[in-house]
Amino acid sequence: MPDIFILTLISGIFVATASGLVGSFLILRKMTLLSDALSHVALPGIALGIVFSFNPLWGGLVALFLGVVIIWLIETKTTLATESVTGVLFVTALALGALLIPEQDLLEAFFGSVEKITLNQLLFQTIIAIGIIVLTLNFMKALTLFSIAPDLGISIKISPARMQLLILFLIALTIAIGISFVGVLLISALSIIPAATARNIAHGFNAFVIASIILAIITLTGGIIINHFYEINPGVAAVLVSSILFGLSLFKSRG
Amino acid sequence: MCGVIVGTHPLVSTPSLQPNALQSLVRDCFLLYQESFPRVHPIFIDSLPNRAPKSLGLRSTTELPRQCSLFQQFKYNHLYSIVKMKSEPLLKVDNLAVTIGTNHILKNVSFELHKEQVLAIIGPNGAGKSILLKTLLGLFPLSHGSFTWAPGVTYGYLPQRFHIDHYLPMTVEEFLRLKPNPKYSLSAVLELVEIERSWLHKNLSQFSSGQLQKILLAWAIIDQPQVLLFDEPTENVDVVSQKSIYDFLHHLQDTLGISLVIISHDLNVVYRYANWVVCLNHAMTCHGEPREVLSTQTLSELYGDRAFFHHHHFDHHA
Repeated sequence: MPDIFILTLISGIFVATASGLVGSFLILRKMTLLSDALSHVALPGIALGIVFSFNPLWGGLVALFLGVVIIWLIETKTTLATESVTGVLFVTALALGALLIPEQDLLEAFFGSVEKITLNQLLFQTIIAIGIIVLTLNFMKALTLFSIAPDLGISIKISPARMQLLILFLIALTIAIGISFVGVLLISALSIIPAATARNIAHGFNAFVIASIILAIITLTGGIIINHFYEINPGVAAVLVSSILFGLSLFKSRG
Repeated sequence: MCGVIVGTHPLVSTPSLQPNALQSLVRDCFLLYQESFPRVHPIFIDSLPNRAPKSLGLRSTTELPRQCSLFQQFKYNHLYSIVKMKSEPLLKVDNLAVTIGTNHILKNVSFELHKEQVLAIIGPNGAGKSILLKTLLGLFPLSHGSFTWAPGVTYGYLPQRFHIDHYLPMTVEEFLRLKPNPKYSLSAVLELVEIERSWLHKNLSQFSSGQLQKILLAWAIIDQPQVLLFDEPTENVDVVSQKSIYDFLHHLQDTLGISLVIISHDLNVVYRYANWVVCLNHAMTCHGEPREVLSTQTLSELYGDRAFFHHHHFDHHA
């Protein structure tokens, strides 16, 4: 039986790969704030998992999917201002989640905890991560075009509404599998900061995506390792690692 | 452009001539004609049915629908009269109307686009020209009427605005490879739009808007569309590169036989390149050949009473 720490690291590498990949589209689509807000929706679902003692991963996933459908409906079917509605909705979700979760578990839900992850959960996370990676690579060209020039996408029959839904679902899945590592409040950093860093250093698109993935892996495994040896929440450690990398990338900006 | 009537000499039409002799005579004329004007497709016009040799792909008068409208001379004025070839149009727009929210953006728009035709859409700002183009791409739902692309027609699109985020990490090569089903190799398409190979590895954000438009053109034609929809930019593009874009389009039309739908704000361009004009100010106010449509009267009706043409003309030389 391999050490649970090694298994956690391996699962973390897959989760980080998915995060880095999806994160690069978040940066291109300028959806970073939306994904940040969306991540808060997971909290009530996690709360239900904790209260009724089932795997919080599933609770978070269901809550996130609900959030995605709501955003998508608001964006495509109504004339409401998406930003303000999502803002209200997600802060409300955060408050509800914080109310439901027992106080001793709240800090872990916010900032992540590696110790409580079960073997089952690691397995599910890894499988979902592989699913995200396959799905994203499969729609790579369409997603890229939709992100950089939606009009051109339309001209070759890429439906913006469908692509938006796909991106939102990818975000939801990515958030759901990363939450146990880095927590609800810092999860979006796992997607956003590596991609933002990669954009600072990459010249071409392929290089950008690959750099984003590598940086996400360094970030998450760094967080898990630091958490293993020091008494620092993995989410906090990971965000600090990635922020340092981002700071360094500012010195080496592409020409 | 369309087709050309290859009429037969009265002598040839005499029924006394043997069908075989007639056919070989027509064939000779046709080949001679094709040699001189390789891009023009002759249509055989004759008063008697079934005399056009089918092997040449010629058509007799009786096969041409009755609504076939005669064009005035366009290019080969002194030699032949040109007819709009009434084979199936590539695009048929029929009484189209678009309503967004409670705003009636477009109504009563009807026109047809034929092979190798350059159709210009003109009209004042905010007349719904770009929306018309985007509607044809399928972006806006119709509130009335219809538009039909001929089966299997492929079309490319050059949008009016193509803002590249300054921070977008993407090379020209990566951008061009995003287009599915390319028919040209990268080097072939670069040659067509006269882009240097060294551009391939440069970042998109390094180019001026005029240069970006060339790159976009390469993107638009790399899969060899039969129709190109071009929404002319109103801003940010200098006159020189704008002129060269039209020269390119014209060149492409000549060499590839592409059909164009252009939205243009420059009536000089319409005069020079278009062979059909649709005037649009929410409704279609006129349509026809450039020299018919671009009269002082129709223009002042379309743009209001200001002397649009002069204003525009001087603008471009200022």
